[in-house]
Amino acid sequence: MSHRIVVVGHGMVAHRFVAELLAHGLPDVTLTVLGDEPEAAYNRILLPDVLPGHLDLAGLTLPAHPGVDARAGVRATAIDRGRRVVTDDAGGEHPFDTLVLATGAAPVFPTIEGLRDSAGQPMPDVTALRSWADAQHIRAAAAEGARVVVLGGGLLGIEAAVALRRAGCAVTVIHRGGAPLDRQFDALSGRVVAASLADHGVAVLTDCRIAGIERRWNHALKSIRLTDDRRIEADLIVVAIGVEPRIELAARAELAVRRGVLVDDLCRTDDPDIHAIGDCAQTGRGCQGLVGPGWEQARVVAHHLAEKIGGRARPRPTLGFDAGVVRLKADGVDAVTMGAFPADEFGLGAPRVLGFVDAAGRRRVRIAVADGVLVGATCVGDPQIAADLTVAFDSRMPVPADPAALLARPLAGAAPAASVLDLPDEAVICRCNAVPKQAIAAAVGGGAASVPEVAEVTRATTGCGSCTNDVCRLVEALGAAPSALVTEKEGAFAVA
Amino acid sequence: MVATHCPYCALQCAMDVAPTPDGPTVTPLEFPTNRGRLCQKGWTAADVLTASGRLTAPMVRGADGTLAPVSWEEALDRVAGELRRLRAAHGPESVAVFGGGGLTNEEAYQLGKFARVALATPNIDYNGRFCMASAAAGGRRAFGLDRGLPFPLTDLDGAEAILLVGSNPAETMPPFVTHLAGAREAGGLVIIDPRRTPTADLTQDGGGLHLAPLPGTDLVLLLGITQILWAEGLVDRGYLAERASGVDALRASLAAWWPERVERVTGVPVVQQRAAARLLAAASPARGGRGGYVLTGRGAEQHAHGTDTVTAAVNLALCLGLPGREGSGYGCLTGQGNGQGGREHGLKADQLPGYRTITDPDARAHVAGVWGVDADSLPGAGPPAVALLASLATPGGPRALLVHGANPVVSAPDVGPLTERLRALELLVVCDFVLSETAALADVVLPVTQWAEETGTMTNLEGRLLLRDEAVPPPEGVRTELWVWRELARRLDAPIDFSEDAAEVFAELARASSGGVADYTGFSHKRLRAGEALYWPCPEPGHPGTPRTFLDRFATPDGRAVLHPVDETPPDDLLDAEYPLYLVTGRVLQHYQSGAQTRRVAALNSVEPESYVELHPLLAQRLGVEAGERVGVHSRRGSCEAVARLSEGMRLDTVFMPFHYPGRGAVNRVTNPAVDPVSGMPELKVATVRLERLVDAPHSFAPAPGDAA
Repeated sequence: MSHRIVVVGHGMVAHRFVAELLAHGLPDVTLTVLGDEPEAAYNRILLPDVLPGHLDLAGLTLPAHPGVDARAGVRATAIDRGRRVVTDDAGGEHPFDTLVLATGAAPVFPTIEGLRDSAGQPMPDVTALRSWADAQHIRAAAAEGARVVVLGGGLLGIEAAVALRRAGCAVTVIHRGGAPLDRQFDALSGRVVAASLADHGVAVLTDCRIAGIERRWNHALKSIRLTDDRRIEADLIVVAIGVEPRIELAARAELAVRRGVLVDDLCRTDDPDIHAIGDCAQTGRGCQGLVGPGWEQARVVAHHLAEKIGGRARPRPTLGFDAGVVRLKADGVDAVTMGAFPADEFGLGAPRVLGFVDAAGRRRVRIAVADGVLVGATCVGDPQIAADLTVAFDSRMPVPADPAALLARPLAGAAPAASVLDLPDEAVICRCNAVPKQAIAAAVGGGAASVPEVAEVTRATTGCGSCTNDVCRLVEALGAAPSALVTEKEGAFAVA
Repeated sequence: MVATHCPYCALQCAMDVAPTPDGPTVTPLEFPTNRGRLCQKGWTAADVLTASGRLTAPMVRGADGTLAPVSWEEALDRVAGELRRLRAAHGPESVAVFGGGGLTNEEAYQLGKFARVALATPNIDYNGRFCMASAAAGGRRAFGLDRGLPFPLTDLDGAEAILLVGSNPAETMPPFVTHLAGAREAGGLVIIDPRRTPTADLTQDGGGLHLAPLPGTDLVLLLGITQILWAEGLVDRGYLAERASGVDALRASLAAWWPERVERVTGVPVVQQRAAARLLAAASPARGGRGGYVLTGRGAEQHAHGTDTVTAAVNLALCLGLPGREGSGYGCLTGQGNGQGGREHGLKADQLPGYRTITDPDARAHVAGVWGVDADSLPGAGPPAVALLASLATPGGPRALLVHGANPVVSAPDVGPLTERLRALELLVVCDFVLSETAALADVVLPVTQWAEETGTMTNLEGRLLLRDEAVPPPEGVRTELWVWRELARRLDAPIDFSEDAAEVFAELARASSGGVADYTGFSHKRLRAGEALYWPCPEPGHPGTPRTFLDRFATPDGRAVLHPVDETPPDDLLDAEYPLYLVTGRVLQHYQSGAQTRRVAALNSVEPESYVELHPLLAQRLGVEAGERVGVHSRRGSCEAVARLSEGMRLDTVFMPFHYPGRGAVNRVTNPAVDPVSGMPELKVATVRLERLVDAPHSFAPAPGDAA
């Protein structure tokens, strides 16, 4: 009899889990996925990109998995652990041998007067950006020129703010802490990000508390009042103060929960046939709220099930757990942080910490090195260094003898190119024909008075032609009559 | 003076070859591809004709283990006798054939026919499997047809943007670079290469963009750029609706590749991905641009997922609406001189002339009809090159190998075990004009004509047919390969005769290709001599040929290009503490392929005389390696040695080695024989290695072909 796996939730982690499991090619497994959103599985991370208006639902939709019973718009309402059955909101029953909870996390709305209606639902001009429906809501509400206030200057808030700005809105971010992104980034990095955001037309107000929401007689949003009595006028509020794992289903089924559904290293709940992965799961590392760790959990569970059900497995994946690279996804504002920094850089045996801040240049780079590899890094405002550090961190590449070399890198071509006249005699001028400067000098000395004449003797310029200008300059400087120079733009050259 | 073309790469630069009292000389000719230009290899091409060590008599390995000259009669009788014995004792499959992409169309065709008819073996493949197979598979999968450039090269001149993925033409085919001038002027040259090559340098000073991904991640980078096109509304949706199928599946395959994830995998910053996407889109016809091209090279293709990488590049081009439009397109830059023709006329294990599939009953019937044999007598598909070479001298595998136009002990991946297997063969026959490293292992070496000493046609990177006429008389004692096959076929009592006349063989090739994908029906030596510019397909006599395929429809059943969804596959070799660096391989300007020719030209070899490993100065500093020092390069397969060369154009995690050198310097002692599941192409472009100073860890190397005594 086939092994029945039911997955509750069809977000990015659930989708990945199904893909991972299918890759094991297990026979006799039936897979049912219950997604409560009306859309097929889609990439939530790209939601901010929907706001400027080019990305449609098809651009977010993840590949359908053949042979999988994936149901959209079906919400699981109860788990009967005794009968091994999940019930849905249409009364359907889904028997399982293994259950995987991937219910994700829900946005948190602050408890402030004026955000919710009498039924406790967010007012029409208050929304999160967590679902396709939210994105559609924002697009409809925030036309070009609309004033939008984003509550929360964390990753999701800043990403939403930058996308709204790209969509033409006037955006203000209201943040509780002293600097944006302060959950993951150090304060200096946060300040550099804030300055960079200001350059892009996104205002970030820090150390703010909201006193209240002010509305007009018709309940339309007027402004957000801060505790220092500042008022920020707004047409729309986007809430991004955080998320909380969706654990109601698990809690009602009396699985062990704390902030999230408690799981072990194999993402098993206290019921060994029920797993939890992604944002709803609480591992030994807590609830990370990032897709990377969620995908790693999806892989671990798929591998475990392949062993358990199939009695066989493909080689264990070689990539370890996701080490946690946090990357701001905002066009034009580059910020990434990874690993950890010591609390005390001067402490005995502490990793070596190096860094600099360049406030005017909107740059901040900081790294921590231990045992010859990168153990922490933060980079704001330097996309190339950010990418290099990420790759070095992920690959555990040994760092250079002086790790300071990782902090900045001269851009190719940034140094003024040496004039061909200053190059040493043995420098190769024409690579295609391996012609050194001295050979060109000798040709000119021997009477060659133009580029074609030098070419005739040395073959310089007759390959790709990229050195034609250099050879021309040499001929000129070495004394040929300028009238004899021929610079062939087309690059055609033929020996008669 | 005879107008001909260069002996080396697929650009096939036009040149005159003239005999002088000091030996033949070369003069460049005006021609659309090279425009009167030549690189140093071209200028010195005539030196190969007079290279020292030219073989002029057949050689047979005697009882004392050394090769000694014998008469042609004796050599051929020996080969035929051994083949006869092996075939009788172990069946026709005990004999294998390995060809090369430098052979003329006539030779490639005749060798395929010789294997299938005279030897009746399925075991034939060629070194093009190391370079072109993934591009071919990708092109066929998307367009139903694989012609390297489905447009004349000069079309590139008008482009506003050109994306080159894993190609370094500034060193591999320098005169090609003039065709990039227009794109550079428009700031539209985009180079994807882990190294800052001379080609990547062309993007400086406003010429365009250089993206330097981690080795083996080109596919992901292409997915990312394509995703950005969709996310920013830059796709040519009208074109896709009209000319492509599979849009929904493609979009779904891109949805999980947002730019920041691509950055993490590839190391290419999001800003650069976006800049590349926007620049290419601005050049696309749909957005009013002057046109754009996406071109792939070996850097994209020589991977265990090379076909998928090509497909990702094709998908990008399709989303931009480029292929099948005049002034825009997708193409691959063929490497070997006749890499295109070589893959069309039956050198491949799975193909018959005209790019026909050997398992297709209609194709077998047609070709057998032209050959005058029974279709049932033709063998089926054999294994592709890497598998074929791996099967040599193994139980049940071939016991004899005939090599033509190839030097696999230098050019194949993981040459250590290959060398042992070649030594273990009962019969190794090598046709060459010098004693290559492979020839040095042979039981019988047959000296043959080269390049300007014989007449034949080549199909260049554009799918244009070129004639190379005999320009100088061959040295006394050498024979053409066509003659060799005729003689061997006779001695083997083949059911049909084999012609030694190139024009006659070509006429037969044209008939055999008739109705196939690469249709040469209307081509002839005569039309080429009359100066016609002929591109295949040319389905009937008098047909003008097809400079641009796909303008009206793609060669698929419904005429639409296929968007085939692909996804990431990491390199087969993974980094770990023992092998913490990526190794990429490639060419230097002065050498060609295994170097068997160019290492014998003093003017070239004096510039690049030995194998080197290029690394970043910071990496060198960490390893304590000085420029010019010899270092050991170790992988899970084996070890080689090279001189350290420092370059700031390298990534900190990647080193580079050229593949032209034999013996201890042979990078293919460490490369990975893992192959692409579709094309059978090996992963020559990425391996993980460790570098060690030789003074720290002196290594004892097994002697290898090409080692100095």
